[in-house]
Amino acid sequence: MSDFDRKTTRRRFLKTSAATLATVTIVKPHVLGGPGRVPPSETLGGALIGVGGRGPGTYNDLKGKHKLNIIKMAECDVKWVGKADNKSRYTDFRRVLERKDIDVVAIATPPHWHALISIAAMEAGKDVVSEKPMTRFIAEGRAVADAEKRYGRVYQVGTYGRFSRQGDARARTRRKLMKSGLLKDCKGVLIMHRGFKVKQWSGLVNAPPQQVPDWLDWDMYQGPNAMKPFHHHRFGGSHRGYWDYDGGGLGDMGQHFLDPVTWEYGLDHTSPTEITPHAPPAHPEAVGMWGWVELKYANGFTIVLESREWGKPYDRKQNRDISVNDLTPGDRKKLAEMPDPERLLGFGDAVKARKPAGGNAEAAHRTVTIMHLANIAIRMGRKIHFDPVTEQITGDDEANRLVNQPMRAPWHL
Amino acid sequence: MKKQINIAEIVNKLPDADRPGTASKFTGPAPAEAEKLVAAVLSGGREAIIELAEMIRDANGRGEKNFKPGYLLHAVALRVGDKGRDKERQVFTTSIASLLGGANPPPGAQEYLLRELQCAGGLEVVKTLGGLLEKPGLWEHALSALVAIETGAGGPLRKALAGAKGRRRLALLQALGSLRDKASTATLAAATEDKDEDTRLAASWGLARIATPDCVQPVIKAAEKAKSWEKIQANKAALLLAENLRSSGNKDKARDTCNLLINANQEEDDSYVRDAAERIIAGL
Repeated sequence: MSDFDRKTTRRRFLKTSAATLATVTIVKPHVLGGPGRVPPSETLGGALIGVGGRGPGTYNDLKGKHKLNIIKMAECDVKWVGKADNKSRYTDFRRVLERKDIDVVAIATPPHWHALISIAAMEAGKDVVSEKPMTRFIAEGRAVADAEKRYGRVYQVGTYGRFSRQGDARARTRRKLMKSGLLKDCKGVLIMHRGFKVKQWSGLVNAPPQQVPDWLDWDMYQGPNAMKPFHHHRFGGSHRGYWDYDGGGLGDMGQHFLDPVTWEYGLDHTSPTEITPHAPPAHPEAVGMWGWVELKYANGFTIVLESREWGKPYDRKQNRDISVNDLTPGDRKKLAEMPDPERLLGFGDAVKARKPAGGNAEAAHRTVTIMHLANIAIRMGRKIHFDPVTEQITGDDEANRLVNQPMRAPWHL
Repeated sequence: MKKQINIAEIVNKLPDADRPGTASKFTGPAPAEAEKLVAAVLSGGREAIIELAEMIRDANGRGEKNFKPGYLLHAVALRVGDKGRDKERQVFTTSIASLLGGANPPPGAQEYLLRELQCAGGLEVVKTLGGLLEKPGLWEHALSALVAIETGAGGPLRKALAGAKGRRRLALLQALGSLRDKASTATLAAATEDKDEDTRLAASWGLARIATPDCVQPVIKAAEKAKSWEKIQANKAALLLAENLRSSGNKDKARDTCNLLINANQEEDDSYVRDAAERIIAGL
């Protein structure tokens, strides 16, 4: 029996139970699991939006990694023109989200849809797992985090490096040290030169228009972006090489590499303030090459992303760890008296407990903001300054226009 | 005195795409070399900028070699957007704007130029952009540029809305909401009763962003009537409105909005909306 054939979902369970018990006329979500909780035995309705690439894996993680008792009620993909039945297969995610028998949505579309669908899902009362990168630009991330808070929904970005870091005693100490506020002039420097796949996921600067395949809803695929002619390289994985959809290898892989870093160094609620790039002039459509980007936080901590695929090597600073030895003896004593970091909740547990997941929207947003700021500096070819509170680039109107980009109607944040 | 320069020669100094027709590993020139090329274009003033822009043949400068003028023009747009270069920026943007709206350059090239104005344009090109809001094929790109520029964009958008229909009307209404254009409050309020669902939703969202007390009644009325996807989005607009009213100090109106929204969402499945409204009330 396939998932689609099965009919019992959480909401049906709630309705049936409420009718049987005949004690209440309005049953709030999770009331049957105790105050604010979903009983572990309860069956949830699930949906997958974006079925290619990582899609099946992202959805299957709901059952496997997240241990949810979930039945797939619907799938959605813009590739299904002429094949959708609007019962279990859709081309328009809005029709999926308005269904009341779906509680959890897995999103594995190209990145330019991640934020809009995540927000819309939470507005529809669903919990969300969204593939990385969380967003395409900074204002999208703020809107996702706002929606998570506004609707009390559970959001988890599809990367889990921070969960493994919390098992490392040195990582926990670094987090505690950074979060303590005792490091006034932080000298820490973290240089990262992992596989950013810069060449692999660059775009074509010379792509001629092509005929849109008849199985593809190109208008829906393009979504909030300005309408552009179809080219096969803009679709099906190589979309990563175009600013319309992603931010190249840095945009696409950065969230994996930086997710553990933002947890370990206590950067879940702030962002870099000074961003210095080394890159050739960027193409306005196609993501291209870059050498390195230095991102400095207000407390002095510095992250360096180095491609090692273009230009001169980074030589402005050396790797430099942080440690309790950076503190005065008095501050070391204060640190020792502070509690250890709280354990992160996995998505499944967070759904059941109605508490934020470890990779919640605020944390994921601060992580992806690092990549967005790096890419904005690369695109501008100059140093930029960012205010982590207002989340605006200061003193550079042209760069700031990439923080919150216009969307094509009817799409908006 | 402007220097006489050969733009074609400058363009040809740019590197080719690594392998035409395959995934590019396009590296562009080194920053110092790029700076020289951009400086050479700027030294030729308005004439050089126009000559460079006229070399673009279609959107995105497509074609094996034709990407080069567009790429260089974008490099100039980025350079003049830097601090302390506003005079050069205005020469650049007004030069590009002078090419828009006619039969030449071709429409695809004009799209490209409009996106450069979205990047670097300011108040000096708002009038030109406003004049393109009725132009088939160009209006959507002109609109994006105006939304990005913000300053002074409300007037041209309101003017263009007068005769707009269909998707263009929807886009203009959404843009006015995006700009929080208070002068459009009545227009947006009326549009919450439009026959088109997307238009109604864009209007409610715009009113939620403007967030003056007179936005409450149309937004709530729309939320009361809506069904399905529209209801989800109309509820969102009402919650955004309440949050924005709270932020601007209109706490009583924020509370009224939340209470009306709670009343409009009494089904079992709406409890998360009621909870959201109650959280706003609790924070007042």
